[in-house]
Amino acid sequence: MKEKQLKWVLVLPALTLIVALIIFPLIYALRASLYLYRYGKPVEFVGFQNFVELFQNRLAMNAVANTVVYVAIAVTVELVLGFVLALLMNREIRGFSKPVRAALTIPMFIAPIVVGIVWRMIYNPQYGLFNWILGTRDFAPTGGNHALYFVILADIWQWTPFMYIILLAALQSVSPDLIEAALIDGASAWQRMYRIVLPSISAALVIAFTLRFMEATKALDIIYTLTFGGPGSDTETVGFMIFRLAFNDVRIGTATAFAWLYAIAIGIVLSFFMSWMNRRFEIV
Amino acid sequence: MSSVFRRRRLAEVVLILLITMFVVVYLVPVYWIVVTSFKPEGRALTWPPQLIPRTISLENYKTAFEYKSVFWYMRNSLIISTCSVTISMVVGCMAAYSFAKFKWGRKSKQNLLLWIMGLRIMPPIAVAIPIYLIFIRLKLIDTFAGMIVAYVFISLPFVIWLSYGFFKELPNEIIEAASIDGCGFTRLMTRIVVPLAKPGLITVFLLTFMMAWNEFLFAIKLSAFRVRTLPVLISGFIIDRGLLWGQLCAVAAITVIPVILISIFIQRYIVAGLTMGAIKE
Repeated sequence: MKEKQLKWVLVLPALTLIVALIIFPLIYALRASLYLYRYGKPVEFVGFQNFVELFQNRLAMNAVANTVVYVAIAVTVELVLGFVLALLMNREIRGFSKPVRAALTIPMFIAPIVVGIVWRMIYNPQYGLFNWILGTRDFAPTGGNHALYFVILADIWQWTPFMYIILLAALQSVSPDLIEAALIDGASAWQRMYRIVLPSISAALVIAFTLRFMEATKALDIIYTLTFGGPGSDTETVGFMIFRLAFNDVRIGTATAFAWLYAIAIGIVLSFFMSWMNRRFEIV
Repeated sequence: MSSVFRRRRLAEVVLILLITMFVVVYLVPVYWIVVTSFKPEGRALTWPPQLIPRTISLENYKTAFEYKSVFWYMRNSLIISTCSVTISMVVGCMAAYSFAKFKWGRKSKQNLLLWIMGLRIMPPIAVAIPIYLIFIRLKLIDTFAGMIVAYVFISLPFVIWLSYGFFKELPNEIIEAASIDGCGFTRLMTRIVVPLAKPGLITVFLLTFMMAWNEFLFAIKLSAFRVRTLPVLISGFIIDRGLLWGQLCAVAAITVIPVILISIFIQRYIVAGLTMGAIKE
């Protein structure tokens, strides 16, 4: 076989699977979004009504607002905390740095469904560790209108190590000679930070931020076991609401319409962000 | 001079202490699952919380295995994760190798790879709903085949990107030399490429396996009883009134511990794995 054919033969199975498992279902979903599904009644074609109704749906707008808050707070705090941790741990201390890193990676690999459970246990108003540490009793972190922030706290706990590990790897690749030269030239700590360290790790910052942003917009598992969207719909994110619409309320049309709009919105935000970053830092 | 040195040493000790304290506090939730799983059910949650249990009992694990048939769920999780990741590995590595080592036009390769990456932007729920509908029609709900196929969706783009990074690093000279010596493609793969890329490929396999092991969204809708996985079992506890925290923690510990062990094993490649090969150490 010629190389020219072989390269396509090797790629073809993967492309076929992707088309069959992702592209085709997405088109199927687009079609479903044009129909009205109801219990015990035949499916009815309604055109773009599902899309239009979404914009008048108060719960949908609530979910969008929650998602914006969730993603903005979680990703920002994770990035800042992870960066501070990485700076603190940047010095290699023999026999200490590696175990610490290994220990801090543990939360990332715990199934989000379990993370939700643990925090539910910790937040328990009667017996939870949270109340015990604060010295309060019967305070329900996920019970009032502040519930969303405590769900975000669980996310921050799980994903700060992600930022920390990526940024630590980047920091360690900053050339020590460069920093030494700056020191000799009398650069202050802030100058070294802004002029040397940050530009050297900007690619890592952008990659870490983008990946985390992408994942945070999908948040669903943690919410499922921690609050199930409650109280009311206070902690319902878009991902969770689509899940509830499709599988609890069997409003397939509305759910698929929402899913499509959401995917497009994320795609637009990310592509704007990437092209802005690209112009600014010339990464890709 | 020596006082400067001593002050530095002191700063280091303080830093070590602070960080150790931070790590200990940080891991309390993990400790909490494990410790609660060893408390007898009646005393799983108490006021004040018992940080160190007075009695250690294996009762929760016993009930989990005997009455909740945890073995069954473990077996399902293991079968589904292993099969789906193996399929993704075979198919994904072929594609990744082709991208990494064959002559592609710069634009067409970049477009294809970015397009595959773009699929990961898609929230999985957007694909989960249509797959659920299609599977109902095809009678694939609650079958191993269905679950495995759905899990390939999650892992394939990830495998392609990650293994692309590892294949690209293989020295071209060795591969060219082997081709010139008349080594056929199959032999080239089995004798040279796979052995050389082995550490990378093992990492890709393990990382993808962990993702599949932890997967929940597809698992809960595409399984009814026969192929339920561990995460689905865990989520089921929540529905019950009066949570059985002890048992729940035992099941959670059983789910989490294998993954933690794997993560320690692949420390060296974690950065590459988490950034889909974009950053390496």
